[in-house]
Amino acid sequence: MNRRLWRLIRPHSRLLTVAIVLVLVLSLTELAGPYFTQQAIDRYIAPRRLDGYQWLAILWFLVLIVNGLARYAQLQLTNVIGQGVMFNLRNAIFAHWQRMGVAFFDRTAVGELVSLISNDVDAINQVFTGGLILGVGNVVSAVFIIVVLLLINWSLALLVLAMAVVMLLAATLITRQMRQAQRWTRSRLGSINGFIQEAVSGVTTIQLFNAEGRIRADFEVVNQEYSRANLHSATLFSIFLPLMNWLGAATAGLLLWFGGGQVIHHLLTLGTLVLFIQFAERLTTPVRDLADKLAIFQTAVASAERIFTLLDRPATDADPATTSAVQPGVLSFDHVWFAYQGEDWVVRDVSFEVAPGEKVAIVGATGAGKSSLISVLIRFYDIQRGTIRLGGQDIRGLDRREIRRRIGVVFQDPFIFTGTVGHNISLGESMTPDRVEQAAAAVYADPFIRRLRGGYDYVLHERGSDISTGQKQLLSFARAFAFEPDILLVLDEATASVDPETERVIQASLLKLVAGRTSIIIAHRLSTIEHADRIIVLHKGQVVETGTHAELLTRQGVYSRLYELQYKDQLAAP
Amino acid sequence: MFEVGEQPRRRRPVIKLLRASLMRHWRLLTIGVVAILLANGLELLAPFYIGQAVDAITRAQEGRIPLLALAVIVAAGAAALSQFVRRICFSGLGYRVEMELRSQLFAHLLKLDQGFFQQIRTGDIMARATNDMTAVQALITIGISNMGNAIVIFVAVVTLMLLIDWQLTVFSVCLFAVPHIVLIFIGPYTRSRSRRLQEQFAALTARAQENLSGIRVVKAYAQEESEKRGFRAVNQEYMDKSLGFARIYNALWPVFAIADGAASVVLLYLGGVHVVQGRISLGQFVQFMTYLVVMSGPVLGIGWVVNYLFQGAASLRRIEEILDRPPAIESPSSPHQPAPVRGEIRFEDVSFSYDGHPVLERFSLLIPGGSTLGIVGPVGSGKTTLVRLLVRLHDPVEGRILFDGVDIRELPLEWLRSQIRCVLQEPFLFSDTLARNIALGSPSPVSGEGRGGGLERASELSQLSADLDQFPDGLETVIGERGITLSGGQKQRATIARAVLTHPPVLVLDDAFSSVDTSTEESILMGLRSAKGAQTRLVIAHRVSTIKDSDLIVVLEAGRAVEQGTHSQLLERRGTYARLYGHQRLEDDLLQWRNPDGGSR
Repeated sequence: MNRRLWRLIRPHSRLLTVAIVLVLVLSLTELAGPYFTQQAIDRYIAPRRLDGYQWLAILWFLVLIVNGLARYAQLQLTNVIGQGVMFNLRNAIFAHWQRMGVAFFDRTAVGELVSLISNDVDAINQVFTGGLILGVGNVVSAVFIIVVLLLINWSLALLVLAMAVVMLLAATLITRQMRQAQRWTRSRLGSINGFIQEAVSGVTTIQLFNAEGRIRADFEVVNQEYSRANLHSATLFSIFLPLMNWLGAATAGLLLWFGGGQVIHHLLTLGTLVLFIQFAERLTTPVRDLADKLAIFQTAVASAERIFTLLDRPATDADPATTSAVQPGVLSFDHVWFAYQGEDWVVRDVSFEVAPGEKVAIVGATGAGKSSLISVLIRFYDIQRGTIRLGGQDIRGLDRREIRRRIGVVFQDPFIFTGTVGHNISLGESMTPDRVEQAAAAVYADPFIRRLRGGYDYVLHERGSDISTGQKQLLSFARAFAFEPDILLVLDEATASVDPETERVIQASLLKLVAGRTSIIIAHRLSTIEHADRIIVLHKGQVVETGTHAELLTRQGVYSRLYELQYKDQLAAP
Repeated sequence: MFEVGEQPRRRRPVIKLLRASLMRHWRLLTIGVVAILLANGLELLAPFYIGQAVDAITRAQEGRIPLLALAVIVAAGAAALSQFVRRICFSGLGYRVEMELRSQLFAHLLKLDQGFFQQIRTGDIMARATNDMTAVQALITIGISNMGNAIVIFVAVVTLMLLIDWQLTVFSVCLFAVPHIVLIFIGPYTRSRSRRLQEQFAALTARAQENLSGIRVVKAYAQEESEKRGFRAVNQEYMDKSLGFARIYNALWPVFAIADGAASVVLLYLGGVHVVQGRISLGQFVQFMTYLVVMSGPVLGIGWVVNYLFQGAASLRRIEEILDRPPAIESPSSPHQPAPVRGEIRFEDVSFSYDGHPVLERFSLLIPGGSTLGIVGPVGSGKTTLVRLLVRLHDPVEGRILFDGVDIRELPLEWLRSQIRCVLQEPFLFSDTLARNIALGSPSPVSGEGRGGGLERASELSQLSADLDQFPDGLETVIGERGITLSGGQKQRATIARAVLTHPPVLVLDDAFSSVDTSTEESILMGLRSAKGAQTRLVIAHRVSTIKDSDLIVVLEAGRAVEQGTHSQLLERRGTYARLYGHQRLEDDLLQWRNPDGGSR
C-alpha cells in the first residue's frame, strides 16, 4: 500500500525533495524568534549596552523575510505536487472506468464511483499537502528544538522533553478517541440523510395518512442521536486544545521554578531561560499537529485502498493485444445461449443469419430476450455458449471498438449528455458541422433543432430534461445516422406518450434511418415491421417463427395473434 | 435550484431566526460569554506572573520564585478550564440550535404541498437539512465563539499593554493590524474565487457522473477516448483553477507571519531600548512579549472565523427560504364540524390545470354514499387528478368538491384524509417493519396488545397474509433498504392493507392492482364487497375486469367524462368502453398462451 502511494509521488520526487528542504529551512528559521530574544536580553538589554543592537533587529527581520519566502515556496510546491497527483489519479480512475464492462456498471452505484473520484482522491491529497511534508517539518522542528535545548542545559531540556512526551501521549490518546467519535457522527449523519430522503419521497403517503406526527417523532430520535454524537465529539475537541495549552503553560511555570534558581546562582543566563520558555511554547504546536497528521494519514490510506481496489479490477471491456480486423459480411448467430446470471437463460439456442443489406425485425412480448440479443452482439456481455460471427469471424476475436463503430445502436431510452445539440449528435467524434446537420436533416430532426434558441449550439440540460421524449429519440436517430454504421441495431419498443404529430415524424425518420442498411430492429411500430425483409418471432429466449409479414400472417401462429393485439390498432390510429 | 419568488426583506429575518434560536438557550449563552471573559482574564494572568518571576529572578529574590511559578501553572490551568467551558457551551449551543432548526425544517417540509416538491430537487432539500445546518452550527460554535474570544482578548491585551508602555503598544499593534486590514480587502475576493473553485469541482463531479450514467452510449459509440479527453480537460481546468487560487491564498499565511514577526522585531528593539532607558523593567518587557504571543493566536484566526460567519449567514438564508414558504394547502382556520359520515361525494364543475394545460374541464359527478365507482381511461386523461383533488393534494382551479354536502376546503384537513383512504398508483413503503407500514394511518401506535386484530384483518383482506410465511419475522419483518425487498405485488397489497386498516368510509384504489395477478385481485375485491359496513369506493383501473362490477363506470378522456353507466349499459353503447373491453379479452387470451400455467409472478 505505502509502496503504491509512493509510486504516485515518484514522478514528482524532485519537487518533493525541494519541498522537504524548504520545510527544514522553515523549521529552523521558525526558531529564530526565541534565539534572537535570548541574544537581545543577554548581550544587549541585561548588560544595558545598545551599540549595534539595531543590527540584531535587522538580521531578525531578514530571517523573517526568508522564512516568509520559504513558506510561500513550500506551500506552492506542495500544492503543485498534490494537484499533480490528484490530476493523474483522477485521469487514471476515469480511464479505467472506460475499460470496464457494462456488467460492472450494472452492479455498482454511480454515486459510489463518483465519490471515489471526488472525495477519496481529495483525501489522498491530504497526505501531500497536509500530512507528509508538514509532518516531516513537525518532526524536524521537535527534534531540533530538543537537541538545541539539550546542548544548552541538559537538566532543563530533560524537563521540556518529559513534558513533550506527556503532550504527545495525551494528543495521541485524544486524537484516537476523536476519530472514533467522528466515525460515529458520520454514520449518524448517514441515517439522517436516509431518513430525510425517504420522508421526502414518501411525503404524499405521509400526508394522506396523517402520519406527520409519527414520522416527526421518528425523525426526532435520529436527529437527537446525531446531535448526541456531535456533542460527544465536540467535548473531546473542547478538552484537546485547552489541555495542550495548559501543558505548554505548565512547562513554562516549571521552567521558571527550576530555572529561576539556576539564573540567580549564575548557572544560566536570563536570556537562556526566556529562550527555554519560548522554545517550550513552540514545541506544543508540532507535537499537537503530529497527532493530527497521523489521523489524516490513516483516512488517506483508507481512501487509497478503495481507489487501488478499483484500479486493480481487471479491465473487462478491453481487447487482447492481437485482434483481427473486422470484415463486413454476413452476421450470424449460431446456437447462442446467454444468461446475465448463472443458468437463468434469457437467450436459448438462438440461430439466425442476416445477409448484408437485409432488414430483419425481431418481435416478441416484453422479456422475450430481444434487447439481450443486441447487448451480446456489441459485446456489452459475452455469451456463454454458441458463436456470433461477423463476416465469418467469431466476434470475440475482433476489436470491440471497431465492432461498435461498425454496428450502430439506437437505444430505447435515448441518453442525452449535457452539451450542445451538435455535440449530442457527433459525441466526441470530429465531424464537420455540415455532416451533423445533414444527419439531423436526413432523419427529420432538423426542424425542431432550428426552433431551439441557438439551433445546433443550443446547450441541452442534464439528461435532456428540456426537450421532449420524441425529440430525444430524433436526436438519437441523428446520432446513429451521423456515425454511418455498416449495421444498425434499433431498439424501438413502446415509449412513453408521444403526441401523434411527433409519432408520425418518428416513424418516417426511422424508415429513413434504416433505408439501404443492414439492420436489426427490435420492432414495436407496425410500419417498421412491415418494411422488414424478414421477421423473427422470439418467445422466452427462443426463436419460434421466422418469415415475411405475409407468410407469418397466413401461418396463424404467434405472430398473427401478436399482430392482431398490438399492431392492428395502429392502422386505425390517426 | 429552488428559490422563493420575491424576497424583498433579506437581511432581517436571518438575524431574527438566529436570535430566536440563540435566545431559547440564553442560559448556555450567558455561561459561554462569562467563560470567554473569565478565560481571557486568566490567560492574561499567566504572562503577568511570568513577568513578575523574571523580575524576581533579576532581583535575586529566590524565595518568591516557586510561588510565582505555581501561580503561572494554576492561572493557566484555570484559564484552560474556562476555555473548556467556553467551548462546551458554544458547541452545546451550536448543536442544539442545529438540531432544533433541523426538526423545525423537517416539520415544515411535511406540511408543504406537492407544488413545492415538484419545484425542488431532493438533493437540494437534503443539502439544506444537513450541510446548511452544519454551517449554522459552525457559525455559532466556531464563528461567534471565536470572534467573541478574539475581540475580548484583543481589547484586554491592548489595554494592559497600554498600561505598561503606550509607545510600544502603538507600534506593535499597528504592525499587527496591517495583515488584518489586508484580509478585509481581499476577503471577498478569495471567497468568490473559492466559490468558483467549488463550482469547477462540481463540474468535474458532474462530468464523471454523466459519463457513468451514459456509459452504455459511450461504449456503443466507442467514445471512450473522446470521453477521456473531455474529462481530462475538465480535470485540467480544475487543477489550473486550484493552483491559481493557491497562488494568492498561499501568500496569506507568509504575509501574516512576516507582519506578526515584524511586530515582534519592533517590540524587541524598542522594548530593549526602553528597558535600557529604564522606562520599563525587564520583567515587564518579557510580559509584553508574552502578551503578543497570547493574542496572536485568536486574532490571527479571525480571517478563518469570518468565513464561517459568512457561510453560516448564507446557509441560514437558504434554510429560511423553505421555512418562509407557506403551505399551499392547509386546514381551514375555522373548520366545519364534521358530522357522522354517509360517504357521498359530489364533483361540481371541477376544473384543474397543470403547468398551464388543462387536465380536468368542468367535471361533474355524484357518487352516492356506499356505492362503487369505476374509472377507466387512457394515460393522462385525468383519473389520478380526480383522486388527488379529492384528498386535497391539490385544490381545484374552479368548481368545488363536496363531501356529504360540505365543501372539502371547509373540513378539517386531517379529518378529511382520515375518512378517505387512498392506495396510490406507486406504492410507497418505508424501510421499517411491515406492521408499522400498515399501521401508518392508525391513530394509536402499533405496540403491545390491541394491534393484533386490526392488522391481521387488514392483511387478510389485502391478501398479504398469503405471503407472510415468506417473511422471516412475519409482520415484524423489516422491509426496504435495511431489510428484505418486496415484489411489486407484495408492495401493492401492503399499501392496500394500510388503506383498509381503519375501515375508512371512503376507499380509493388508484390502479392498485397493476402488479397483482387477476385471481388475487378478484379475492381482494370480493373481500372488500363482503366486509360489513357501507363504504364508498373509487376504483381506477386499466383492466376492465377490475371495475366491471361497479355500480357506476365513468370513462374519462382528456379531462372529460365521455361515457357513463353500468358495465352492461356501456357494452351496449359499443363505444370506447366496449372497444377497450374487447381488446383486453384478446390480451388475456394471449397472456394465457404466454403463461400456459396461468399464473403470473
